[in-house]
Amino acid sequence: MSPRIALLSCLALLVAGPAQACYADYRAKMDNPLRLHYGVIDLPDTACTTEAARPLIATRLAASGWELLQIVSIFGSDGLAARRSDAGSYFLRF
Amino acid sequence: MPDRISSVSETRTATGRVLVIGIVAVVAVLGLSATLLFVNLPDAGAFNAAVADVFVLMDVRNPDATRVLEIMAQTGTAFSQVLESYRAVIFVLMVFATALLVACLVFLVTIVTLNRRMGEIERQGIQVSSLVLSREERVVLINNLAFNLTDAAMETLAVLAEARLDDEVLSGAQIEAMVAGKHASDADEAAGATRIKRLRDSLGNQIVSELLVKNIARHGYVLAIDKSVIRMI
Repeated sequence: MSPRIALLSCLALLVAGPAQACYADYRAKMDNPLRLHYGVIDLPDTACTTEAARPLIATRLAASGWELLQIVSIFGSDGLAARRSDAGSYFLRF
Repeated sequence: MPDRISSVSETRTATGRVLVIGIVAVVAVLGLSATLLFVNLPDAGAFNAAVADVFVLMDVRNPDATRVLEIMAQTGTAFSQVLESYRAVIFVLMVFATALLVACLVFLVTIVTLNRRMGEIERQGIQVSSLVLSREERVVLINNLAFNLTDAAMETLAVLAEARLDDEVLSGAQIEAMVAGKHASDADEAAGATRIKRLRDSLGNQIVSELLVKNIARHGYVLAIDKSVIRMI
Protein backbone atom coordinates (compact mmCIF):
# COMPACT_ATOMS: atom_id res chain seq x y z
CA MET A 1 0.00 0.00 0.00
CA SER A 2 1.41 3.35 -0.98
CA PRO A 3 1.64 6.12 1.62
CA ARG A 4 -0.80 8.18 -0.44
CA ILE A 5 -3.52 5.59 -0.16
CA ALA A 6 -2.85 5.16 3.53
CA LEU A 7 -3.18 8.92 4.00
CA LEU A 8 -6.41 8.96 2.04
CA SER A 9 -7.86 6.13 4.06
CA CYS A 10 -6.81 7.92 7.25
CA LEU A 11 -8.55 11.06 6.02
CA ALA A 12 -11.59 9.03 5.10
CA LEU A 13 -11.66 7.58 8.61
CA LEU A 14 -11.32 11.04 10.14
CA VAL A 15 -14.18 12.32 8.00
CA ALA A 16 -16.29 9.25 8.52
CA GLY A 17 -15.60 9.12 12.29
CA PRO A 18 -18.01 11.83 13.41
CA ALA A 19 -20.39 10.90 10.64
CA GLN A 20 -21.17 7.48 12.05
CA ALA A 21 -24.77 6.70 13.07
CA CYS A 22 -25.98 8.80 15.98
CA TYR A 23 -28.97 8.16 18.26
CA ALA A 24 -30.59 9.65 21.34
CA ASP A 25 -32.75 8.21 24.05
CA TYR A 26 -35.31 10.61 25.54
CA ARG A 27 -38.42 10.88 27.68
CA ALA A 28 -41.63 12.48 26.46
CA LYS A 29 -45.13 13.10 27.75
CA MET A 30 -48.59 13.85 26.42
CA ASP A 31 -51.29 15.56 28.48
CA ASN A 32 -54.97 14.80 29.02
CA PRO A 33 -54.74 12.03 30.05
CA LEU A 34 -51.08 11.98 30.96
CA ARG A 35 -49.08 9.49 28.87
CA LEU A 36 -45.35 8.92 29.17
CA HIS A 37 -42.78 7.10 27.13
CA TYR A 38 -39.12 6.40 26.95
CA GLY A 39 -37.89 6.14 23.39
CA VAL A 40 -34.89 5.97 21.12
CA ILE A 41 -34.66 8.29 18.14
CA ASP A 42 -32.39 8.39 15.10
CA LEU A 43 -30.45 11.64 14.71
CA PRO A 44 -28.84 13.12 11.58
CA ASP A 45 -25.05 13.45 11.65
CA THR A 46 -25.26 17.21 12.15
CA ALA A 47 -27.11 16.96 15.47
CA CYS A 48 -25.02 14.67 17.61
CA THR A 49 -24.97 16.87 20.72
CA THR A 50 -27.75 17.33 23.29
CA GLU A 51 -28.08 21.05 22.50
CA ALA A 52 -28.35 20.49 18.77
CA ALA A 53 -30.64 17.49 19.10
CA ARG A 54 -33.13 19.07 21.50
CA PRO A 55 -35.09 21.30 19.03
CA LEU A 56 -34.92 18.58 16.41
CA ILE A 57 -36.33 15.87 18.66
CA ALA A 58 -38.90 18.29 20.11
CA THR A 59 -40.30 19.16 16.67
CA ARG A 60 -40.36 15.53 15.57
CA LEU A 61 -42.22 14.50 18.72
CA ALA A 62 -44.55 17.50 18.58
CA ALA A 63 -45.73 16.36 15.15
CA SER A 64 -47.41 13.42 16.92
CA GLY A 65 -48.52 15.47 19.92
CA TRP A 66 -45.74 14.47 22.31
CA GLU A 67 -43.81 16.91 24.45
CA LEU A 68 -40.09 16.31 25.01
CA LEU A 69 -39.23 16.12 28.71
CA GLN A 70 -35.59 15.13 28.71
CA ILE A 71 -32.83 13.87 26.48
CA VAL A 72 -31.14 11.12 28.47
CA SER A 73 -28.07 10.63 26.33
CA ILE A 74 -26.64 10.64 22.81
CA PHE A 75 -25.02 7.40 21.73
CA GLY A 76 -23.79 5.52 18.71
CA SER A 77 -25.17 2.41 17.06
CA ASP A 78 -23.38 0.24 19.65
CA GLY A 79 -25.84 1.43 22.33
CA LEU A 80 -28.96 0.47 20.43
CA ALA A 81 -29.26 -3.14 21.52
CA ALA A 82 -29.18 -2.34 25.24
CA ARG A 83 -32.05 0.14 24.88
CA ARG A 84 -34.27 -1.77 22.50
CA SER A 85 -36.33 -3.58 25.11
CA ASP A 86 -36.86 -0.46 27.30
CA ALA A 87 -37.93 1.69 24.39
CA GLY A 88 -40.37 -1.02 23.23
CA SER A 89 -42.69 0.33 20.58
CA TYR A 90 -40.98 3.74 20.69
CA PHE A 91 -37.68 2.29 19.46
CA LEU A 92 -36.75 4.42 16.43
CA ARG A 93 -40.39 5.24 15.92
CA PHE A 94 -40.12 8.99 15.31
CA MET B 1 -68.77 72.43 79.97
CA PRO B 2 -71.51 71.89 77.44
CA ASP B 3 -72.95 68.46 76.91
CA ARG B 4 -71.95 66.62 73.82
CA ILE B 5 -74.83 67.08 71.43
CA SER B 6 -75.85 64.10 69.37
CA SER B 7 -78.77 64.26 67.01
CA VAL B 8 -80.64 61.38 65.45
CA SER B 9 -80.18 62.64 61.90
CA GLU B 10 -76.42 63.07 62.48
CA THR B 11 -76.24 59.55 63.84
CA ARG B 12 -78.04 58.32 60.76
CA THR B 13 -75.59 59.86 58.28
CA ALA B 14 -72.63 58.61 60.30
CA THR B 15 -74.25 55.19 60.47
CA GLY B 16 -74.72 55.13 56.72
CA ARG B 17 -71.05 55.86 56.19
CA VAL B 18 -69.98 53.21 58.72
CA LEU B 19 -72.30 50.73 57.03
CA VAL B 20 -70.89 51.37 53.56
CA ILE B 21 -67.29 51.20 54.79
CA GLY B 22 -68.04 48.05 56.77
CA ILE B 23 -69.72 46.25 53.87
CA VAL B 24 -66.92 47.23 51.50
CA ALA B 25 -64.34 46.00 54.03
CA VAL B 26 -66.14 42.68 54.55
CA VAL B 27 -66.49 42.06 50.83
CA ALA B 28 -62.88 43.10 50.20
CA VAL B 29 -61.46 40.84 52.93
CA LEU B 30 -63.50 37.85 51.84
CA GLY B 31 -62.80 38.51 48.18
CA LEU B 32 -59.10 38.64 48.93
CA SER B 33 -59.17 35.43 50.94
CA ALA B 34 -61.20 33.74 48.19
CA THR B 35 -58.63 34.80 45.60
CA LEU B 36 -55.75 33.57 47.77
CA LEU B 37 -57.61 30.33 48.32
CA PHE B 38 -58.10 29.77 44.61
CA VAL B 39 -54.54 30.74 43.79
CA ASN B 40 -53.08 28.44 46.44
CA LEU B 41 -55.22 25.40 45.64
CA PRO B 42 -53.25 23.04 43.41
CA ASP B 43 -54.62 23.01 39.89
CA ALA B 44 -55.63 19.93 37.94
CA GLY B 45 -52.22 19.69 36.23
CA ALA B 46 -50.28 19.51 39.50
CA PHE B 47 -50.55 15.70 39.78
CA ASN B 48 -49.55 15.16 36.19
CA ALA B 49 -46.57 17.48 36.58
CA ALA B 50 -45.50 15.62 39.72
CA VAL B 51 -45.74 12.25 37.94
CA ALA B 52 -43.78 13.58 34.97
CA ASP B 53 -41.11 14.79 37.42
CA VAL B 54 -40.94 11.33 38.98
CA PHE B 55 -40.63 9.83 35.50
CA VAL B 56 -37.60 12.00 34.73
CA LEU B 57 -35.89 12.05 38.14
CA MET B 58 -36.22 8.35 38.91
CA ASP B 59 -34.76 7.45 35.49
CA VAL B 60 -37.70 5.19 34.68
CA ARG B 61 -37.17 3.29 31.40
CA ASN B 62 -39.13 0.11 31.73
CA PRO B 63 -42.38 0.32 29.70
CA ASP B 64 -44.32 -1.44 32.47
CA ALA B 65 -43.07 0.99 35.09
CA THR B 66 -43.98 3.85 32.76
CA ARG B 67 -47.46 2.39 32.42
CA VAL B 68 -47.82 2.31 36.23
CA LEU B 69 -46.84 5.97 36.36
CA GLU B 70 -49.52 6.78 33.80
CA ILE B 71 -52.11 4.99 35.93
CA MET B 72 -50.97 6.97 38.96
CA ALA B 73 -51.41 10.17 37.00
CA GLN B 74 -54.95 9.12 36.06
CA THR B 75 -55.76 8.54 39.73
CA GLY B 76 -54.46 12.01 40.43
CA THR B 77 -56.59 13.45 37.65
CA ALA B 78 -59.66 11.78 39.14
CA PHE B 79 -58.82 13.30 42.51
CA SER B 80 -58.28 16.69 40.95
CA GLN B 81 -61.87 16.54 39.67
CA VAL B 82 -62.94 16.01 43.29
CA LEU B 83 -60.78 19.01 44.14
CA GLU B 84 -62.68 21.08 41.58
CA SER B 85 -65.93 20.32 43.34
CA TYR B 86 -64.30 21.19 46.69
CA ARG B 87 -63.33 24.48 45.14
CA ALA B 88 -66.92 25.18 44.15
CA VAL B 89 -68.09 24.25 47.66
CA ILE B 90 -65.50 26.52 49.23
CA PHE B 91 -66.55 29.35 46.97
CA VAL B 92 -70.20 28.90 47.87
CA LEU B 93 -69.24 28.92 51.55
CA MET B 94 -67.26 32.11 51.02
CA VAL B 95 -70.26 33.78 49.39
CA PHE B 96 -72.42 32.54 52.23
CA ALA B 97 -69.99 33.88 54.83
CA THR B 98 -69.93 37.25 53.05
CA ALA B 99 -73.71 37.45 53.06
CA LEU B 100 -73.87 36.52 56.75
CA LEU B 101 -71.23 39.05 57.75
CA VAL B 102 -72.93 41.81 55.77
CA ALA B 103 -76.25 40.93 57.35
CA CYS B 104 -74.63 40.93 60.82
CA LEU B 105 -73.15 44.34 60.16
CA VAL B 106 -76.46 45.75 58.97
CA PHE B 107 -78.26 44.41 62.00
CA LEU B 108 -75.56 45.66 64.36
CA VAL B 109 -75.76 49.15 62.91
CA THR B 110 -79.55 49.03 63.04
CA ILE B 111 -79.44 48.07 66.71
CA VAL B 112 -76.98 50.87 67.51
CA THR B 113 -79.12 53.41 65.66
CA LEU B 114 -82.28 52.21 67.37
CA ASN B 115 -80.59 52.39 70.76
CA ARG B 116 -79.53 55.96 70.11
CA ARG B 117 -83.02 56.88 68.99
CA MET B 118 -84.52 55.21 72.03
CA GLY B 119 -82.22 57.28 74.20
CA GLU B 120 -83.24 60.45 72.41
CA ILE B 121 -86.90 59.66 72.80
CA GLU B 122 -86.52 58.79 76.44
CA ARG B 123 -84.81 62.09 77.13
CA GLN B 124 -87.17 64.10 75.00
CA GLY B 125 -90.24 62.97 76.93
CA ILE B 126 -93.47 62.75 75.00
CA GLN B 127 -92.98 62.55 71.29
CA VAL B 128 -96.09 62.52 69.19
CA SER B 129 -95.86 59.79 66.60
CA SER B 130 -99.55 59.69 65.74
CA LEU B 131 -102.41 62.10 66.08
CA VAL B 132 -105.87 60.85 65.14
CA LEU B 133 -108.83 63.16 65.28
CA SER B 134 -112.32 61.71 65.50
CA ARG B 135 -114.81 64.56 65.28
CA GLU B 136 -117.88 62.40 65.66
CA GLU B 137 -116.76 60.89 68.95
CA ARG B 138 -114.98 64.09 69.99
CA VAL B 139 -111.89 62.04 70.76
CA VAL B 140 -108.29 62.75 69.88
CA LEU B 141 -105.84 59.83 69.90
CA ILE B 142 -102.29 60.92 70.63
CA ASN B 143 -99.88 57.95 70.47
CA ASN B 144 -102.95 55.76 70.90
CA LEU B 145 -103.88 57.47 74.15
CA ALA B 146 -107.48 58.67 73.87
CA PHE B 147 -108.44 62.11 75.15
CA ASN B 148 -111.94 63.52 75.20
CA LEU B 149 -112.44 67.09 74.07
CA THR B 150 -115.33 69.52 74.03
CA ASP B 151 -116.84 70.44 70.67
CA ALA B 152 -115.13 73.82 70.68
CA ALA B 153 -111.72 72.39 71.62
CA MET B 154 -112.16 69.70 68.98
CA GLU B 155 -112.83 72.36 66.32
CA THR B 156 -109.77 74.33 67.38
CA LEU B 157 -107.56 71.26 67.25
CA ALA B 158 -108.96 70.29 63.85
CA VAL B 159 -108.27 73.77 62.48
CA LEU B 160 -104.71 73.64 63.86
CA ALA B 161 -104.17 70.17 62.40
CA GLU B 162 -105.35 71.25 58.96
CA ALA B 163 -103.14 74.33 59.10
CA ARG B 164 -100.17 72.10 60.06
CA LEU B 165 -100.84 69.82 57.08
CA ASP B 166 -100.61 72.90 54.84
CA ASP B 167 -97.54 74.15 56.75
CA GLU B 168 -99.38 77.30 57.79
CA VAL B 169 -99.20 79.33 60.97
CA LEU B 170 -102.51 80.74 62.18
CA SER B 171 -103.09 83.86 64.25
CA GLY B 172 -105.72 83.94 67.02
CA ALA B 173 -108.06 85.91 64.79
CA GLN B 174 -107.70 83.42 61.94
CA ILE B 175 -108.49 80.50 64.26
CA GLU B 176 -111.56 82.27 65.63
CA ALA B 177 -112.63 83.16 62.08
CA MET B 178 -112.37 79.56 60.86
CA VAL B 179 -114.09 78.03 63.86
CA ALA B 180 -116.88 80.61 64.05
CA GLY B 181 -117.25 80.91 60.27
CA LYS B 182 -116.57 84.66 60.23
CA HIS B 183 -114.24 86.73 58.08
CA ALA B 184 -110.78 87.13 59.58
CA SER B 185 -111.12 90.93 59.74
CA ASP B 186 -114.28 90.59 61.85
CA ALA B 187 -112.82 88.01 64.22
CA ASP B 188 -111.36 88.92 67.59
CA GLU B 189 -107.73 87.98 68.32
CA ALA B 190 -108.55 87.48 71.99
CA ALA B 191 -111.33 85.03 71.21
CA GLY B 192 -108.89 82.85 69.30
CA ALA B 193 -106.38 83.05 72.14
CA THR B 194 -109.10 81.93 74.54
CA ARG B 195 -109.86 78.93 72.35
CA ILE B 196 -106.19 77.96 72.38
CA LYS B 197 -106.04 78.37 76.16
CA ARG B 198 -109.09 76.16 76.64
CA LEU B 199 -107.64 73.52 74.29
CA ARG B 200 -104.34 73.58 76.16
CA ASP B 201 -106.03 73.37 79.55
CA SER B 202 -108.27 70.51 78.55
CA LEU B 203 -105.67 68.49 76.64
CA GLY B 204 -102.75 69.32 78.95
CA ASN B 205 -104.73 68.35 81.98
CA GLN B 206 -105.67 65.01 80.46
CA ILE B 207 -102.16 64.29 79.16
CA VAL B 208 -100.60 65.03 82.53
CA SER B 209 -103.20 62.93 84.30
CA GLU B 210 -102.55 60.07 81.84
CA LEU B 211 -98.77 60.29 81.78
CA LEU B 212 -97.78 61.76 85.13
CA VAL B 213 -100.37 62.18 87.88
CA LYS B 214 -102.67 59.19 87.67
CA ASN B 215 -105.94 58.96 89.44
CA ILE B 216 -106.83 55.52 90.67
CA ALA B 217 -110.56 55.52 91.18
CA ARG B 218 -111.70 55.57 94.84
CA HIS B 219 -108.12 55.03 95.89
CA GLY B 220 -106.13 58.19 95.34
CA TYR B 221 -103.37 59.66 93.22
CA VAL B 222 -99.96 58.35 92.22
CA LEU B 223 -97.11 59.46 89.97
CA ALA B 224 -97.11 57.23 86.88
CA ILE B 225 -93.34 57.08 86.53
CA ASP B 226 -90.56 54.69 87.40
CA LYS B 227 -89.26 54.98 90.98
CA SER B 228 -85.62 54.93 89.89
CA VAL B 229 -85.86 58.12 87.82
CA ILE B 230 -86.82 60.31 90.80
CA ARG B 231 -84.04 62.37 92.35
CA MET B 232 -84.26 65.12 94.95
CA ILE B 233 -81.72 67.93 94.67
